[in-house]
Amino acid sequence: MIWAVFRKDWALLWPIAVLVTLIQVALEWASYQFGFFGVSPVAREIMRLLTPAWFIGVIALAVVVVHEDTIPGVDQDWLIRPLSRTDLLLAKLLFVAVTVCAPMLVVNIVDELAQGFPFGPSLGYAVYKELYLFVCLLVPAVALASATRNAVELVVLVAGLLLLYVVTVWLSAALLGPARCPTCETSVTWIQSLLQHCGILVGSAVVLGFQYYERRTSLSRVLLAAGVVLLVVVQLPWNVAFAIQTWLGAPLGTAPAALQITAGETTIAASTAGGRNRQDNAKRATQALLQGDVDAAVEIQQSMRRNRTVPVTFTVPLQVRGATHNEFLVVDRADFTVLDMQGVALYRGSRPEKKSAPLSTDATGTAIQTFEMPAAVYQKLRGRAASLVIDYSLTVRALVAQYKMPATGGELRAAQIGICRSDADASASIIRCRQFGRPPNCYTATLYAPDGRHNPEVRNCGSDYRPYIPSPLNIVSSAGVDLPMRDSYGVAHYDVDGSQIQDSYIVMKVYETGEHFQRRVTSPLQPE
Amino acid sequence: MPAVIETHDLAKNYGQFGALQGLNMAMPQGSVFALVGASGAGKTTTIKILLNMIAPTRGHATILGVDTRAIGPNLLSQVGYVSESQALPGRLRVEQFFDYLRPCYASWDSGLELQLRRQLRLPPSRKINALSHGMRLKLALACAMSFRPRLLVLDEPFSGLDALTRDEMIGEFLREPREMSILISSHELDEVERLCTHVAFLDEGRLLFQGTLPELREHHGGPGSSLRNIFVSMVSAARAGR
Repeated sequence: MIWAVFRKDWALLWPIAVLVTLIQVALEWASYQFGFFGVSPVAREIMRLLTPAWFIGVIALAVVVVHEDTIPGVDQDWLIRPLSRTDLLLAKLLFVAVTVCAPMLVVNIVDELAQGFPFGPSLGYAVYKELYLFVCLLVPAVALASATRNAVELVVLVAGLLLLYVVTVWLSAALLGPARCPTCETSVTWIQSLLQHCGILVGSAVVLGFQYYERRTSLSRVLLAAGVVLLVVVQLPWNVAFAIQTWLGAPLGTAPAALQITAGETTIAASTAGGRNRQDNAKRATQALLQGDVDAAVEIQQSMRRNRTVPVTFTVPLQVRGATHNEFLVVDRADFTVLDMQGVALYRGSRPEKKSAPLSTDATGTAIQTFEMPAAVYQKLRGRAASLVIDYSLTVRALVAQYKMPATGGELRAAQIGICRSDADASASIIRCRQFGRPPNCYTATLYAPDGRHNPEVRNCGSDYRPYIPSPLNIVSSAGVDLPMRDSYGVAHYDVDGSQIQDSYIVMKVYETGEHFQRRVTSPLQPE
Repeated sequence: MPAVIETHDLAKNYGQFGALQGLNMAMPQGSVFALVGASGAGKTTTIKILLNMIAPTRGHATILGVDTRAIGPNLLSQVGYVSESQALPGRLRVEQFFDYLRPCYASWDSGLELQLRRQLRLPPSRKINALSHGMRLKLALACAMSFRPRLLVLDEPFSGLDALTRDEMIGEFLREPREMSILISSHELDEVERLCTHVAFLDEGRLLFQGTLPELREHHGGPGSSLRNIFVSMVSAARAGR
């Protein structure tokens, strides 16, 4: 029966399936033409236009095939045919797999082979991509479609769910502030994201079950709405997410136990006004809102309300011992508590930056950490001895590979970084790398002249610890840095200025993420 | 004769409205059973419950010995269904529709299919959406009969058909002796009278009568009374009594 339904759907929908495949082929062609250095404006324009067209096309195909045999209603022909519900559902999923995933698998493999990647990994990563697409995009689209009769109903349902999502985010952000999503925009966001993907998949499976086996459309729609709310509300606490990340961490570089981190005395710096006046903040909140970042907008708005008085900035010198020169520490999060002498907590806060940042130390191994507290809290502290307890979530990053390649016209193939090519224009030497899967989490590049002189090191470090491809729809990840060597305004001077670019070379250092750990440090605080 | 369809206290409410109110009915095997009633009497609701398209609010029913809530592919492969409201896949061509259905039924008779398509003059390359209402009903009928079902369910099959097409359908197809039972719902009493062996009268969700045509005439009219006259008088009496 699966085959009978599939053939019927194919007879009806083959023009759309062919169109979607043509879009896929055009996109891959454009991606290939785009090349390492992105020099083809035509390819760029084609990619810009066809990417949304492809997205709409695959979703439309998944929706239309379900709507050929709608679930809600009582007059559909399939209801009186000897079709098992399982066969009908499998026929729809098979159609989506065959018309969307199978052509894309072939096109992806051809593209990757053309780019110089070997067949084995090309096949493996392409299968991974199609599985991701199927499970995380197409199955949810099929589930949504199964709860509607036609495209109009689907659009209304999706619009309703989106509205519910925005309202839920707004409410939870207004009520909880930054605590709404402890892992958002951090290095462990991927764990929350993975959890959400699993939730979406389970929700889709439940809706498909209710629809195809029970035909309970009202209940399914309620479940979809509940799922949207849960998607926003269920958030992993930071400590849980970081514990999972710690459990996944691999030993690399110095073991955390061998690292000594101590804090010197906390110093109250001058008031900073947060660096911005109210007008700036209002502008930032509006911009965040326009970009759809509701969380950020609400946070700025709340900080404006909170900080009518200027926050007080204080700095803590951290002494780090035990790390070698081929590794460095990254601060993923720092929560602090101000305690009075009796140990009573007077204020709790976090470092304002959410993204992970290297703990940059000077030659003596000292790193200066900056925190803020409201002026009103500081006023209460005046004249009283207190202490500052900081709970750090930290990560070790260690050098794993070092490569050398010509500054222009060079090619490098290495397991850690994939295929890299170098080029140069009038102002910079450019490196672009392509690799299957996740690009290196952190790498640096330095431009050297033949005589050993070199320009400042350029660092490119991400703050995402996910162990898999960041965007599974782009299985070949791109990375790269520009190494400046000439300033057209004549302000900056570079030791390696491009005059010997043909003989110059680049040294690339690749750092990988090692173990994650938490450490508590205490610092005396003596307000003026 | 064993019953091919039985209902027990079958009821269906749409909100406060009781579309069906405790229907107890039995359709004998081999009969042509007419479910007769005015518009809104509960005929279509009964059929949709019998084919598990909707769930009853109360009571239960069996079709070919299977509880309607447990109907599966095996039972549906023995039941043909034609309805004026049936949503056929409109963008398929007639030929494609037959191609689609053929492998779904183990008992599909390709010879009978060809015969029916020829007799009904179904244009193979025309899209179903482009067919007239009458042609669409003919197509549904051809599809429903090609697999030689044990039970044929016809929900208002003559609605909107011209006289010629009605005569053609009744004369050439439905009155032919076949080994199947036919349940037909209609308010077109003249056509029903030409076809049926048994009749059930429904009014406002309630059963007024069920039995053979001779029984009906014996108890509720004279030997020459028409089905129309008996139905009108029974419904009028029932409504006056409520």
